[in-house]
Amino acid sequence: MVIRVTERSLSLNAMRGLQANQGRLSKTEEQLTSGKLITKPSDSPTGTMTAMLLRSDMRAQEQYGRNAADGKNWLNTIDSTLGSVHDNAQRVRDLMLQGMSAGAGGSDSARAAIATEIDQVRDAMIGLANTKYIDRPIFGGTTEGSSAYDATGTYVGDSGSVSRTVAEGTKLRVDAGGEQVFGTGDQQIFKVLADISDHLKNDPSKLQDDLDRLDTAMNTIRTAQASVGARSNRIESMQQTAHDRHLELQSQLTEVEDIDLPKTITDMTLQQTAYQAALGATAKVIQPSLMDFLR
Amino acid sequence: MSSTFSGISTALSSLRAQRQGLDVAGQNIANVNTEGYSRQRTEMTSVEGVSNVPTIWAKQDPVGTGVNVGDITRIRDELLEARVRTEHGRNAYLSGQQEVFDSIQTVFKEPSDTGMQERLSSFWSDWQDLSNSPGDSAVRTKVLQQGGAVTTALNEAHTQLSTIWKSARSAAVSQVDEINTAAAEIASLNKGIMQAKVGGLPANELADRRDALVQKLADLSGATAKVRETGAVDVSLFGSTLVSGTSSRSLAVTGANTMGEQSANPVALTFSENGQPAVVTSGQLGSSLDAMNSVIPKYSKSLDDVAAKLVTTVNGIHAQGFDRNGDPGGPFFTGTDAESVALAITDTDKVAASGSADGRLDGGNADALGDLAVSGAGPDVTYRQLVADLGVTAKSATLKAETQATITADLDSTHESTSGVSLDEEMSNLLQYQRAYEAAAKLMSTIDQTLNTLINNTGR
Repeated sequence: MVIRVTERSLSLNAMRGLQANQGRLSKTEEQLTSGKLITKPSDSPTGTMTAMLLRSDMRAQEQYGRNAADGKNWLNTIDSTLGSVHDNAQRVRDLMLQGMSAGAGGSDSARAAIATEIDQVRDAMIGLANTKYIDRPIFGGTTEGSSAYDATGTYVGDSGSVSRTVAEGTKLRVDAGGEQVFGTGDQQIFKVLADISDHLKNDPSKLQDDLDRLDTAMNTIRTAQASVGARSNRIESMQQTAHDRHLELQSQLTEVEDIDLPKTITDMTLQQTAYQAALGATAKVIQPSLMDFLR
Repeated sequence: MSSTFSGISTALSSLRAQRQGLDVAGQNIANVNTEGYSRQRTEMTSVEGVSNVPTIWAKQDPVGTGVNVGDITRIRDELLEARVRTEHGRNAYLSGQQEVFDSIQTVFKEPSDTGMQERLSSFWSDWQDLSNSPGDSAVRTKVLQQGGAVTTALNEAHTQLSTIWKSARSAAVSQVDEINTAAAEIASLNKGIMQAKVGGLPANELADRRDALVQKLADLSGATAKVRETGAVDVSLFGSTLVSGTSSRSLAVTGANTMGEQSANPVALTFSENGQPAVVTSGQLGSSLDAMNSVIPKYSKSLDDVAAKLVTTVNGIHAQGFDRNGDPGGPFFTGTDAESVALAITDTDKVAASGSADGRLDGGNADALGDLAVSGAGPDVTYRQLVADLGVTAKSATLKAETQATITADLDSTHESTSGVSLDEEMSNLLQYQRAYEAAAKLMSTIDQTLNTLINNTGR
């Protein structure tokens, strides 16, 4: 059977074709102007899922990077503070040896002067032990107070620890407990310094013992410093990892979500050509009728 | 042997018939662009000289005595039209569903930098910041603000879904109004057509108008139609009669007025005369009903699940911590669904960031809450499931609607090529009738001349 073609069915079909052409054109245009391949979940359900997961993962990595940066600052502050503390202790050791030696340095008046200087150094070291990072004493654990040690050198912080989440499931300690760094009881460095000062003035015979105690305390500080350095290195590499991962996720997201510009522009041009061709063809087909040829 | 003047009457009948043919062609040309117009054709039959009931002594003419104009018929294909109606109903249903999914998708703006996923991520991120500085009341405020942003997003999504539901409800009411008007009009047109038919008058234009209304009913509700002997059309709605001859019934929408009431009192259709339930599963109305009774409530329920998950997970961990004053953490969120979820606390000191009781600057609990960002069981997962389901279902709805639109357009085109007017055809018809008219006139003048010879010139 020959299909009967009428003017209206011709124009309906033409309109349908043109509409479809225009629909495709507008979709491509939307993609070009927004720069996004996916604007609603139905554009690509799996793509949407991937994009959402990537975004949430990116936010997490960003946060890990921030946590690591904060942690690194803690550890660096502690590291440099411990360096100064150790320098001060070394200075005390030098003064002590001077006081213990025979000759001019070992006279009573000279020892009293050395004791005064050691007291000064001790005060400075207590000051260092109260170093703060963003208003928190770095050796005070989780204390709310403004200092870790009081003026007499007694520990007033607590035993809590400060840690930062630097990767999924990885929490690193970023502080150093005052009692671990500066010792406790008779081994506590401020107590040792007070004793040294006292013995210089009153009982030089005990100074040899004090020297051993001071060496032990300095050793503890060095150990703490090594541990802080190691953790600082670790947190730095974690920060780098978080940063790299963030970049990697970003490029994955771009792949899933963003348009391929050259391809989209080519598509657009092709569709425009197709649309113009369709328009031209429609104009030619709908125009003539038998009437043009009957006179 | 025929009578002397019978040739003249034969020519006259032809003149009349060709005139009629020209008129019909004129009517067709005039309506070439009228939607729903079916082309008409003049049915001509030859008048036989011999009766088909032979009788003794009857005189029979060996030649026929002209042409007879019968009915002017509309060219239609009833079977095709029934299919067109069914597919139109389905098309209206599917494109309605696609629209509903499109509007639901605008509620969940994913993937984006502003959607719910982003707000949740920021919320978890803020908890980690709080874990870094538990003593900073600015960070505590930030956590509360972001918690508020999450609850607001949930509340807003719920409100938007309710609004979509309400617009589906008012669409259903106006669709039912249109159905009732169309049904009543079909009944009254049926009456006109039956009367015309009894009186032997043409009713083609009335029938076209009525068929356009039946088509509209099919679009609205997927109604089916059946033509009776009398010329009237009966319309039925999934087995129940909507229009029978000259009488019609009307529908009414019953049930919930808001999305909240829907589960207890689903939206339904009844016949207003007796309150009997009416079933509509196709057409625009079918789509509106499905949207109200299943599609929108489904996503509203999923959204409630996200809210409930958020409240239980966050409150569960929050209760394990201790606030700034060292007191155990209370609930962080209140509410049980997307509509009611809200912040339970406004005092920044009540945020339980600490993992130990003595009010120290510990951020352990805030850290645990921040870890929910990557947890496999947090509200994020529930939310992503919602979006995944929505994406897949909406995509399938779109594909179905596109396929159906093509099928429907193809059928429309077939229908149009059966019943539509072709100008080329009408032009050639015009020529045919014109020539036939000229020929009939020629016949008449020829007979006239013959008779002239006989009457005036014989026996001179």
